[in-house]
Amino acid sequence: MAPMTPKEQDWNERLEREVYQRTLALQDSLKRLEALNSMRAQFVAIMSHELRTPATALIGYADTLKEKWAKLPEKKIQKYLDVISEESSRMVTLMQEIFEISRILEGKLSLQFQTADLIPLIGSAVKEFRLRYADKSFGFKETADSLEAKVDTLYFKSALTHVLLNAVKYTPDKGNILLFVESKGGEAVIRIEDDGPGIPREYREKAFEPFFRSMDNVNRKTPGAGLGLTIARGVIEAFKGRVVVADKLTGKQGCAVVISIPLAGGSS
Amino acid sequence: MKKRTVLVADDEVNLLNLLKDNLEEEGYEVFTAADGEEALKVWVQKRPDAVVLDIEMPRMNGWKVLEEIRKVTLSNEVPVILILSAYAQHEDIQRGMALGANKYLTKPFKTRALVETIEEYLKGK
Repeated sequence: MAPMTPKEQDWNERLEREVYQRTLALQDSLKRLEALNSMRAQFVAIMSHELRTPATALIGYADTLKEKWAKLPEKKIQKYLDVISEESSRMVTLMQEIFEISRILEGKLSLQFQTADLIPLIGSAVKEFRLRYADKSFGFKETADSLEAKVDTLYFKSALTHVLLNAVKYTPDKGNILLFVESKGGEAVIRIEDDGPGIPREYREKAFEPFFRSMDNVNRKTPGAGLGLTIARGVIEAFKGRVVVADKLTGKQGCAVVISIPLAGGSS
Repeated sequence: MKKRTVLVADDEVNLLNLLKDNLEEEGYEVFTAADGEEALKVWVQKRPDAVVLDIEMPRMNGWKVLEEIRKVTLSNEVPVILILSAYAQHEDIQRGMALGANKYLTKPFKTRALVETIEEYLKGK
């Protein structure tokens, strides 16, 4: 075989480099797919566990009613029916959240983007929470007149509601939940601070994983499966924003969830 | 005849109340605990005739509570029934056996089955 011309040698080297790079890229995608797959498998396992808990209560209360109806006092019957209704709602909420998350994971959220001022949206969420959770105090401080961003307003409110629900869950009665809203570096920054036990630094990223609830007592006594922050991050990232857990501005006990969303037109 | 006593520990309050009601109806005196630490405390104070333990509990899990109970009892003295989650694997059952559990129930289980299991172990005691 004739020796390669310098040009051919060059092509050959380029080809080899290309093959090498493509192989690396393929290996990388394979790794990511494997990680995604294992996350899915884990998700299904945890989901099955989370659904079994309300299922156990439902079966138990329904069977007890069926077997002992004639013997049970009216008050007990009423109480059991209330539990059945409560646990069924819990199951439905859980199923809705699972559905929402699976759409987020698959990137299949169908969003209707529009440029909207976030301040009135946040204001109305705060108003709803004040009415719903009268035992907690909600503060709302905004330092911008308007914060226009490109979002799907329904999903924005849903994400904010998940973060606020999380704050409510961990804040003791008579505790404070504070919202700080400002425009910073071309972004709308929404900071939600609570009076809860806080999240240790090493768990702050984990808090966004599906079904994460740290194992301390306070957390386990609160309802919910630990999907709220996962949903909130999924939605905000679809708006090209970010959600992180941080320290409170005062540095006191509690947790701050900070949502940043690029402002429309990139103004600061 | 003195009432037989059962300690039930689970962090799911609805489940805890359900088991309590059903066992009380069968004539047991029931002590409840919403986490592992409380379960151990009640165990030490009351020394019930039988124990029902959920595995996944805050503060102290069911494995640890069982381990503590078996430091001072034999499995034929005080029956301990474990409630296993959906994660129940062969190794969980082996672990339970090694620690001296008497029986397992996997969620979702029938309340009737739990009551009957306790009856069976406490028969003639």
